Amino acid sequence: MGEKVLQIRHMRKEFGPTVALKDVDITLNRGEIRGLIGENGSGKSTIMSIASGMQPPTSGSMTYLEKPWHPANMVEAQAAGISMILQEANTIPGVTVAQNIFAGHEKEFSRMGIINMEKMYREADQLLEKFGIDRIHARDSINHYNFEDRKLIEIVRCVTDDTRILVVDETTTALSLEGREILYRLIHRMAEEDDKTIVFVSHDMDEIIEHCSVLTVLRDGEIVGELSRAEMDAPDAVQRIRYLMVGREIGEKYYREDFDSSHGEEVALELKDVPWGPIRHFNMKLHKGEILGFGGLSGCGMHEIGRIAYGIEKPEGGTVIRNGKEIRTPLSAIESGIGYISKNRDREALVLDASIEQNIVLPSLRSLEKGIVVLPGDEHRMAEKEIESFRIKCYSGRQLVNTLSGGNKQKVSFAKWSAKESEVIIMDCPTRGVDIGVKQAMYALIEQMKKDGKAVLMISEELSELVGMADEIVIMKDFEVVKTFKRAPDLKQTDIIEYMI
Amino acid sequence: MEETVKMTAAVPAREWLKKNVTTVASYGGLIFCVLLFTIVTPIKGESIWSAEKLGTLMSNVIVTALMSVGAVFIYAMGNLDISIGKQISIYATLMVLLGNTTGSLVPGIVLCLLLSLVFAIINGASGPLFNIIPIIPSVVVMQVLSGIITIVYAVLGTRSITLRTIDYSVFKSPLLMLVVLLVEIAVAMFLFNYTRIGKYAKILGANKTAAIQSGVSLLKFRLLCYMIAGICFVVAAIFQMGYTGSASDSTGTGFEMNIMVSLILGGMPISGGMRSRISAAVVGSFTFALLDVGLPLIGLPTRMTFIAKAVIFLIVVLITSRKKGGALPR
Amino acid sequence: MKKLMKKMAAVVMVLAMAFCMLTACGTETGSNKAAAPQKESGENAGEGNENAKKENDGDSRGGKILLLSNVSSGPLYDFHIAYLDMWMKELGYSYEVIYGDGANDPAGNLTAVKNAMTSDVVGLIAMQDGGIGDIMAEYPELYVVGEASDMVSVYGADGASAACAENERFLGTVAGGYADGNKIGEKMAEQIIEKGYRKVAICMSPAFAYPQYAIADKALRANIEKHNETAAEKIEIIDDEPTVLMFKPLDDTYFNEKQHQDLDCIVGFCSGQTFIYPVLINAIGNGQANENTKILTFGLEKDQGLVDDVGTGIVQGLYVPNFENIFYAVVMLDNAIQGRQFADFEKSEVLDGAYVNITSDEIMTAIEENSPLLNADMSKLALSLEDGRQYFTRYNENASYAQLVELMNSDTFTEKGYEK
Repeated sequence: MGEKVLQIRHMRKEFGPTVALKDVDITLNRGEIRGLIGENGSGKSTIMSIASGMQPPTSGSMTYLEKPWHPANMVEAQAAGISMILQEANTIPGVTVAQNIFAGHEKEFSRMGIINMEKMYREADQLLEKFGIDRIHARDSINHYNFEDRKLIEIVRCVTDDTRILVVDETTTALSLEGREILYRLIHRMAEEDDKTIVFVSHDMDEIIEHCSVLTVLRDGEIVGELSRAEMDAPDAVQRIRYLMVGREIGEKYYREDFDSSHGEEVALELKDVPWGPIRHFNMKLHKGEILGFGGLSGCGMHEIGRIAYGIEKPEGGTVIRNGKEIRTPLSAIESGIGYISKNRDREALVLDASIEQNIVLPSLRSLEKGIVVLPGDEHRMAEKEIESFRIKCYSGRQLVNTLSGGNKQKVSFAKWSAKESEVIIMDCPTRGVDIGVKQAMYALIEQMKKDGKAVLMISEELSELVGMADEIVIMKDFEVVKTFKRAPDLKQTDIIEYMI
Repeated sequence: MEETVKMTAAVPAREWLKKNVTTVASYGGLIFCVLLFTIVTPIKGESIWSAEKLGTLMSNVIVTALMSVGAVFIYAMGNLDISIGKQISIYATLMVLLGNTTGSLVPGIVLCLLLSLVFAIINGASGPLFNIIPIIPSVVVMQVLSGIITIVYAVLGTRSITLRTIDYSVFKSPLLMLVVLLVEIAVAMFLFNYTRIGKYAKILGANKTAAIQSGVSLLKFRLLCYMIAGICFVVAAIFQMGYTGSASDSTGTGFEMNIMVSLILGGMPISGGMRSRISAAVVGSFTFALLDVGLPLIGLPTRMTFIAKAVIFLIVVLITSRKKGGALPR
Repeated sequence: MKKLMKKMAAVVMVLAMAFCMLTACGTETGSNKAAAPQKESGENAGEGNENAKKENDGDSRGGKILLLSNVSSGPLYDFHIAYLDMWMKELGYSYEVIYGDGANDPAGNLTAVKNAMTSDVVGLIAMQDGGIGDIMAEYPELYVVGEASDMVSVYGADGASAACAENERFLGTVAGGYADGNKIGEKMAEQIIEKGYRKVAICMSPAFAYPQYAIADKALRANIEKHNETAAEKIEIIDDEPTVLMFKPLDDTYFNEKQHQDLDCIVGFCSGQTFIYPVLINAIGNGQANENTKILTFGLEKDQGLVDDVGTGIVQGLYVPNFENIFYAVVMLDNAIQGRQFADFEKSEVLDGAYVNITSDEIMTAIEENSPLLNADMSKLALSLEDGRQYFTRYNENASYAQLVELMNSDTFTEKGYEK
């Protein structure tokens, strides 16, 4: 315990004009779970992506196991014992789970060029079992599994007996409670029993504080603080970390402070007796000026409710009604004043290759039309207004969305509907992958929406924000509503969780 | 968030160059060719700028350019249409046949426009309606047209048919070609850049799911794009037919490939999306035609022009498809 | 490391692509090979050239001649390259081969000519007729002559380029064999009767591309019918219509049909060595076809196996329009360009091209050894450079069109021209 595994000295990384890491020194020891926390763009992921061979540093040196360390690529790093689980899905579609797990290691199973699949399946199943993942089967095609399961498969692939450093980079955002539990168990076992090093990169303060043995806080490419376990247990730890991350007091106000769950009488959006797949006879009424929260585990059906309400999924019966009109397609939803922010921001909510401006005006193009012409000036004015009011960090509206950080991307997807002046906003995991500063701004915005009489359908996997923001929380489990909670000062997350599992 | 705008003007400039390397490369290719032929051809006692050679250039470029401009609407959506060549063939055949029976080109052109609508519906609408990728219906259209064309010429007992009474010499005028091309480019640019059709086409190519979730009607706009392209193909067919006043069973052969090559040479991403531009079609088809006309003038044997074209194509593709520099992991 | 790999992969891809492109235009390599012997023959021609200068006053007009070719490889192509190397040097022209549209499309041919047009081009030898009228309208100064083509669009009824027939710059053409299909049919019927075949089937390239073959087919049937009226042993022609080969080999299923399984002979109005021979060999191999089935057909392939077969094996009659027929085009073009047209030349016309009739092993051997048809060896010409000069007005003021036509109709360019 305590022996140095990896030392990083004076590491600097530039991406063109952007400096991601300024001059970072960090030492990782054996048997520790090192938390790396920081806002988006603070450089927390960059450090370990360099150590694991994804990209070279601009300058600086690394020493791994007392030898200079210059990994050429991730494969080399993994072979040497540094594995990284990435944020993005990194599995190979169309092949079996086992082939994914042993991708790049087919040689171990092959004899004269023929791969012994049976052996591969057997070993893969053993591995899965060892990790405590019994619902995934090695023989199945990976396509049968959802994003979350694929993440777990990826973990199984990354972690071998030779792994000395495991980097878990924001992986938990993709995982449900169950998946997270598996991961937490795994990292604790690795660190505490096998004396390995875990680097846990996250911006979820709760989980960092709960699981890390030592925490490093980054801001703008620099290390701004290091907290020991004892310091993390201190009562004001959360405030202190937040302060370190943001670099200023962000104030106490985070969620809504009122407990007034009153709202308008008028129904803004109604689902009447809607069946879809395993969901049966679903009813819901969303009123003007109401924030209706939906919570549950990720496979509970709450995300589908959002998609049905927006017309993406066609219900097999029943009706989705707004203002007396039936919603059948996203187009009809938009025209009746509904906006939808998808959980899958990069793939569904935003066009990454398009500029900020093009994304913001996209749903509003029809209303900008003069005859059949859309004047660039009109587009520009609309986008500039939103960029300003959302304070989207960019040098111009022409900047491509894929150059933005997660938080700013999410602002763009909010801005789309703000520009469209939508009256009903369906938001699926609105603060996913967004750091505290932006989160705070989002919450203020949602609160303002309520005050403006807009109706908000907030679907979230984070109970804390539902408790903090929603007028009413609907908890779903196995495609059914199991319980609803009214907004109340004494409502605790723990009261709710038991209904979810 | 106080430091919202802290970057200097130099940064956007450099960023711009990085982002637009494709544009620079494709325009660079064209400019290089123009310069090369302007400088070298006089040494050989020829001139690329002679009226005759400009006319040849125009007649070389016109059909491909007219088609490619239309095809941008299809390619922008990330779709491929491999039936274009056969469409041109059937249009040209119909124009000649109807021209000979009625004594006017108008009925043929009208019929072709109607036919192009049918092809647009098949190629554009069957995708979203039956949930198949759009290249499939275009393969079907290609096969069916190919069969029809074979039968038509077998029945006619000839490999090519020619206008008998109609004077088609007007379509040989480089000036008319230029005017028509400019008009088509102007209309296409307007539709592509200043209306929802083009904006949606690009968005559909870049991210179909996001487009649909933002209220883009896939069926309607895909159909519109195919219709616009179809009209451009008919216009191209008029010039193809008018070049020699004839159509044959091989008219249009390989045109879809010419379009693809032109667009790539012009810097258009073959997967469509936000970087799609009308100018790609123009730049690409002019570059290729210029090589066709210019290379023999600088003394290159015909058989070598294929190789020279291939090499230039490779260079442009290498630059344009080059992987962009590192990106932030977050 | 990773980057290096990527770069290497990119380089390999590029090379592979470049290679593909080069081989895709495989004709290039073919023509380069063809260009190689150019030098040798060029030297020979050089001597001739000096002679020419002696005989000639030296006031000849030069320039570039285009050959609008419909082939880009094979014996015919190689022969043309060698032949033009020789004659163009002799006459003081440069020349360039351009490739016409693969399907003789008028627009494709016109584009090919337009692209290759430089200010020094004075003449065009066209091996196909699509768009000839448009080419002549575009370049009214250009002299055009046809070769290995009957120029049906010029001389045929209702032809698209009919105006050219009246144009004095259009100098006529020599067809690839008989221009009249009836003569072809007649010739084939004679061969069938002579060889004693009893059961005959006919395969044919499509009539819309080769109208003369449709006529030949009818003539063949009529001639056989006539023969049957008097003959003791009748000849049977299977199928009322010929089997049409759409520019591709005979279908394997042909020999599944009972009536095709015991044929004596297949007449191929097409390039039968490529389109019928391999399929028949296969069918004989697996017992579907009568092993004594023979082929009578057209064209010439260089492949040694095919060459060996002719006369001894399956192909019993091979009728090759002589490549040397191009001599007519060269003479007509040169006289016109030099402004020394034959005094007795009045109007352009289609001449029949002479056939080399290879009907026995001996003839095939003679062709192999004594003719330039397979090896493009210009020392084996039936009509050598020296002998050819007399037909040009620039060398022989008394040369006449009648003499030239007589030459073309004589046995000089038939198989007899290569007998030792």
